[in-house]
Amino acid sequence: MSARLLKEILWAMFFAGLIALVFRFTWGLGAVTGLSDSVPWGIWKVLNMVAGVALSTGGFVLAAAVHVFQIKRLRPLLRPALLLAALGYASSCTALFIDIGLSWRIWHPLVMWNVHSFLFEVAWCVMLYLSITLLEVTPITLEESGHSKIKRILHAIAPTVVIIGITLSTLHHTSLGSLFLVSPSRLHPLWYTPGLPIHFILSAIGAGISAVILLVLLVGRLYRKKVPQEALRLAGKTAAVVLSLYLLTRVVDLWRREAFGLLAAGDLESMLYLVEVVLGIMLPLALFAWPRTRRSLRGLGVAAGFCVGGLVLNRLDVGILGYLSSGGGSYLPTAPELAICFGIPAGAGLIFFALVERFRFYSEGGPSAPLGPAPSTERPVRFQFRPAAARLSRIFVITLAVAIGMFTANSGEARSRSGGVRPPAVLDAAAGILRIDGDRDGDGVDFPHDLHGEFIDCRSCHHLNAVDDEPATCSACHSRLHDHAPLFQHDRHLQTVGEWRGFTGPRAGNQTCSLCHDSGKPRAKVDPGVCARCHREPGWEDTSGKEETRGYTHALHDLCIRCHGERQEGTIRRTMGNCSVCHQ
Amino acid sequence: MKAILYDVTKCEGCMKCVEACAAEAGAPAQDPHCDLQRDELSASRRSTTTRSSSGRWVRRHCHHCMDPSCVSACLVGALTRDDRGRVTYDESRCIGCRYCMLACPFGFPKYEWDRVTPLMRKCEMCHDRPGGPACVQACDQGAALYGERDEMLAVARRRIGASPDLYLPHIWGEREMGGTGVLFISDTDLAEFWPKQLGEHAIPEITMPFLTKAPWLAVAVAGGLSGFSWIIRRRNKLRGEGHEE
Repeated sequence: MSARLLKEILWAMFFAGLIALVFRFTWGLGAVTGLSDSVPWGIWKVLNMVAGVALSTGGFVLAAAVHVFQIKRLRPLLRPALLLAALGYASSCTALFIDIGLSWRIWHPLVMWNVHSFLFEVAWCVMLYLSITLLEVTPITLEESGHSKIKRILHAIAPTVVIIGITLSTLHHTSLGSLFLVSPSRLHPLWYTPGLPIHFILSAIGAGISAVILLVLLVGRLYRKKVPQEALRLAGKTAAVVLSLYLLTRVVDLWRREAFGLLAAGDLESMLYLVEVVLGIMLPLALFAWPRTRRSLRGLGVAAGFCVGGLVLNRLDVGILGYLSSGGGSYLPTAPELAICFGIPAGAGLIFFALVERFRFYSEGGPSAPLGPAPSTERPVRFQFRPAAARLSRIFVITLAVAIGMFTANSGEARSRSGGVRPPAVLDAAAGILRIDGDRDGDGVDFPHDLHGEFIDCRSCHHLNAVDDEPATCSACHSRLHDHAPLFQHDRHLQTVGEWRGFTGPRAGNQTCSLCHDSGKPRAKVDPGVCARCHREPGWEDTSGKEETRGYTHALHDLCIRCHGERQEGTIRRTMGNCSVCHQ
Repeated sequence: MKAILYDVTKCEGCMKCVEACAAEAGAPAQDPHCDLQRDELSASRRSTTTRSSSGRWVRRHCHHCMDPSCVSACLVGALTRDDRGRVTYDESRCIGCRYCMLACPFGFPKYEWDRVTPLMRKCEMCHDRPGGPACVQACDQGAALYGERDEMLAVARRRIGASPDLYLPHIWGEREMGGTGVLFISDTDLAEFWPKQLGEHAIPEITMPFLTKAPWLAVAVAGGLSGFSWIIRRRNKLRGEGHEE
């Protein structure tokens, strides 16, 4: 893949995110996302924020390695790592801005304090650390310009800045884990553990190093630069050490809590946990630890990829999936939600490439540079505005069309939950109990049909005189779950059409039948074209399709609640109109 | 310290409390008997009355914990426990992070998902209403009482003592999760409504030790790294000098 193609894909993703952003701020969180009261935190918080921050740890890890521990061999990775950290944290803050309900109040934590809140600690540390990463990155962009005074100041404070940055990182990575300690009764016991802070920081360090490895490999490939192999190998080795520590804490944690039994449950949670540990920790650990894979760039890339994937899955498990079983809710991110989720890192990616092309973020250059040709030749051809603008506007228009189509389709569906209704299933033929569950989502009502027949007239519910005298199901006319459905009123036609034709006498109705139903066919079906015989003629108002029924849910609720409500004084208690009586 | 005491044996599920609550909150008109949302509480329905598995009607709304998880979670301090023990919400502070919704073990805080500028909503025990909570006033079955928590506990004990055959000898909310401002006495077990993992522990009891360790962690990391940095630099310097010699 060429750098240009990749950038065009990123532009498309970024535009899609921008369009989704307009949707989000026009219609609000509820209309645009799949979030609900039972799943209040979605992918923006858990993937963009919690996982995004974790994947940006490379910055502080390499700053510590190079500046504090003076491991010179890792130096070639420092600059990409710092840039990744700055952009990663900026992306996370952007996501947070979009995610919170009242975005313009994002400054509130600055002046309104609650020091007892983990989220407060996270907010402050992330904010401060973002400033730190900018301080660390700025000198690199100033390298080739004047500003010698600023450079001197920044250089002088660098060691202090690095140590403050590492401290802040340690704090907020542990706190991000502690965030979920508030849900002992709601988070699945496989993940709820006092070890969460330790798991979070260890996994973040491992995956942060892996993200830097992936990034350096990607840039090296896209721009055909020499890859700092020795540094990458050392980073892989470090990742292996961190991952083995992480694996150890995970296993010891299960052992101490005697929670191994939960893994044998065979449910979704245990599967996710196993995938996370086997593919996300053990596999990359083995690959990083094995010298042969570490020697090949592809091997390093695969190992780092699995490690990053494992971290993302872990954060999803802790932040969203682990909550589903206790809350009883479900969550499926909508198209606009996904567009913003991927649009933000896409935007950050574009800034990354722009900076890498303009400044020496990839290698330090100069005579002692361990890789690549001289910096002057590293620069690409000058950016040409007009062709680029034409290309980008084309991408934008295509994205706009696709995005609007997808977003409106998706959000409409998510909210109105319209759809075909299926008739009740017989639950118990002997007792005459029907299972009413129009959308078959498992949340239905067991209706004692025959019992009702003992007290009330069939016609109370089966109010349609259907052809062949069959007791029509409710869904025959109330054919959509929540929306109105078009209706054909057979009896009304029998009357009005007969009157119009001037049929009189005892068998007037019989004469009317044959106007629509062709005689001689066994069940006298009607060709839809028949309606047009009258409804298209001048003088006839075209009302076909305009008669409507209420949605299935409303129709059925009305039926039960009205009856049970009206018969309050009789044998049936008014409280039978309560949800929990039928929805058990 | 105010509290509401519910006598579950006296509730017939007439829903007048729910209607009064909706009216007090200025929520849109609704049929209190029917809410299509599966989870019966919502931003416009801050309290409800649901069936327990044994068929009793049980009130569901913010329990006004003595040591509330939501108050400790809210990063801007929009949720506070006032001097009379009621957990109140300052909507002018709220940024909409929805951490309270994650923090509440009951899931009582609900969000106005249908609004473009949404706020969190939950029962605030009618803290600014003269005459106490609207739901308690609406109850004509004597199933709800409002007053000082100590008095409510005394009433509960009196009732249990007066008819030990009827009531189970337990006041739900007295000690659960460190005690709550909503108390229940009942003739059937109500344990299903309480998070069993917590027992008598409040959530902040679990989280605070982690929080108080943070400053020490910061000091340790910063101090340790500064020390390391100094040692390594010095060693490198000495080694460099050695080479030069």
